Amino acid sequence: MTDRLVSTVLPLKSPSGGPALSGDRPAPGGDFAVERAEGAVRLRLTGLWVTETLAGLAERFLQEAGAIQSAAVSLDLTGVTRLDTAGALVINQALARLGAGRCRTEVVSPDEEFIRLLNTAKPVPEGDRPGPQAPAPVRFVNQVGRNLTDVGRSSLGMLSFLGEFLGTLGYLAVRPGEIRWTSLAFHMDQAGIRAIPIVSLLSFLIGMVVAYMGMNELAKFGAQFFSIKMLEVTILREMGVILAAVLVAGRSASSFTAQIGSMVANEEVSAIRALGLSPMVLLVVPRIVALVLTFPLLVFIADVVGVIGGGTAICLTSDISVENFITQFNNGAKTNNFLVGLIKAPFCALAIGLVGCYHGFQASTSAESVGFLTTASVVKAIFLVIVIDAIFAIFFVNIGL
Amino acid sequence: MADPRAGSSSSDSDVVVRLRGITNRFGTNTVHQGLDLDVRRGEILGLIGGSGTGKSVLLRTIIGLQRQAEGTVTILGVTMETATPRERAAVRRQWGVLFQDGALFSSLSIGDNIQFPLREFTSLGKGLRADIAHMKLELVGLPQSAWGKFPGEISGGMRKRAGLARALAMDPKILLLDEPTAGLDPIGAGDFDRLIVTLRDAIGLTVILVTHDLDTLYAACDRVAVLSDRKIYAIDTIPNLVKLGHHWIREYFQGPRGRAAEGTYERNQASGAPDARSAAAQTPTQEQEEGV
Repeated sequence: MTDRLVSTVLPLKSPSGGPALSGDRPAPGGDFAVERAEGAVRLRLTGLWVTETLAGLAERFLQEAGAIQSAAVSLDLTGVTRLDTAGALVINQALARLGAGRCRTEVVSPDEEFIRLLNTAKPVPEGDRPGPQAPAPVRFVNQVGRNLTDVGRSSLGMLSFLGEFLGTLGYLAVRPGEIRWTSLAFHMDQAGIRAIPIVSLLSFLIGMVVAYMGMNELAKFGAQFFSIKMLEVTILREMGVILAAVLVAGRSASSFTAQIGSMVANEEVSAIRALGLSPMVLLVVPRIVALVLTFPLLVFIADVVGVIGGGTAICLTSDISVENFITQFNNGAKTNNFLVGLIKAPFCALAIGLVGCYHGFQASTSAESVGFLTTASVVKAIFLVIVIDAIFAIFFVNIGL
Repeated sequence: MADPRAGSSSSDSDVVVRLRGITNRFGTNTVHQGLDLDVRRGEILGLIGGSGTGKSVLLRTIIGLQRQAEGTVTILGVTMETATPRERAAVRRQWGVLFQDGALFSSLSIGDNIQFPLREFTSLGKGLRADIAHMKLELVGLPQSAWGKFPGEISGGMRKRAGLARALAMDPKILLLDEPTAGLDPIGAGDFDRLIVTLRDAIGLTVILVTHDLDTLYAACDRVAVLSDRKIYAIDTIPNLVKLGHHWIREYFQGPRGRAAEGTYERNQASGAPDARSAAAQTPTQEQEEGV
């Protein structure tokens, strides 16, 4: 609309910035002045009209221009020393406002380049822009709904992933030649063996804390010896497996997601499929099976080291001797507690491995998605581990173990 | 320009980017040795060279991402090595860089990506900032519907355009492009070539681009600088470069692909529709320019 109105008028003054008129002090940025004469208005622009100087200036200018009630307005750019597309955009917006008020507009510019910029930097009408966002309450409800369906979808996805995994296991049982032994061994080392130091250390410390705190409380009743029994139940039945599971969830679920996710992002998984191979066989089975095989070992180590840690604390801080501790432990301990703890291990490992691998496959081509998914997979893996533990706890208590 | 030495005749005020004696080393591998280059105001300069001749390294040297071992980089009259941090920052706002795949921030929508420099460097109001960003979106020929999308949701060609819009957000004087048409389909690449020429004409940019795309070199570049033997071997228009008789340059421009690109270019010239002009139908800028 405005390009019809824009016209070049030869400069009356020297194009090199033009001498400032009386009262027109050149501002460090840009400025403008409104001159009214015989029903015509002259908007005289001066100085820098560029992106850096527009803050505040643009609003003032548009407001002033919008308030003009005149039949003819001329925009004089003679005093403008620099103009860029942002400045030109603001001038165009002003022209549009003036034009909407049925006002004849005219642009005076010494510089061809300014006119070119004015013709380039057209405002985009509101109508052409994508619609505004929905109001906050609607967005909130939207988000809640989306999150709920996401939870449902990802649960279903996990379930079908579990099915696919079990199916692949069955397939591999029939054709063991396709099992990737190297990969399996590598992941057993990565996810299992290399976790031993950190699992042992933490288990030792937790064992100490549990025994020490228990002993302090029980000493009030003169029942220090029961702290040994308490240590046994806590570590063997619950803490050993939970501790190892939380650590492995943090170590391995995240690394599975990141590894597979970046392979998806890099289209390596597509390449595997295109070669007629199965990412399940190549990537998922070695990882999950390695975890299921090595995780009970980690739990066992956590149990042993935890009990040693607890024993250390008890022997160091009370008058119970090492021999005494061992005898008491032997007398009180039940294999039950140890087995109950250990039997949960493969299930936790399966959950951690499935969550880690499943989320890896959810990655899109952006690097950011891998980051999000890694966080989600760790959180979900720990959540699942605790849920599994709770289910087993209820189950075992009910069957009297 | 018969003198193949980097435009040493051009006057100072006309030179936007001046490299003198640039030496770049990676360990014992010297990529550039005493390299000189002058880029003139308002030109579109193509940078070519075989693999490993350090085209991208040179671009990164100009931007300051790769610190040269020796030599000086002078941009818009400011010698970057001796300038104060303030001066350097001021110069940095005078250029826009388009990396190979757009390098858009993946956590921001396209609209927010374009507004990012405006938000960081100016105190413009929200409304005006959005107005400017919408205008830039239009300028690079993206549909307004791309505004709210995220970089992961749009095609590679659109990402490049959006990256260009972000590079243009602060109205730079210099535009640096790294392989702007790599990975684009021929139509998209042709559009992009025309877009660069149109933008240069409309907002007076100086463009430096690294490319292997012969069509881009013919259609968009005013001059082409050839990197060879750790220096700018020559810098001139394509016909003049070919006349120099350097084996690699002849091979480059007169191999089967070079001839095909030249043929297309000449056909377009002959039919009275030079590439830059035929963009008129697609980009609003050109259309209006002719209406003046």
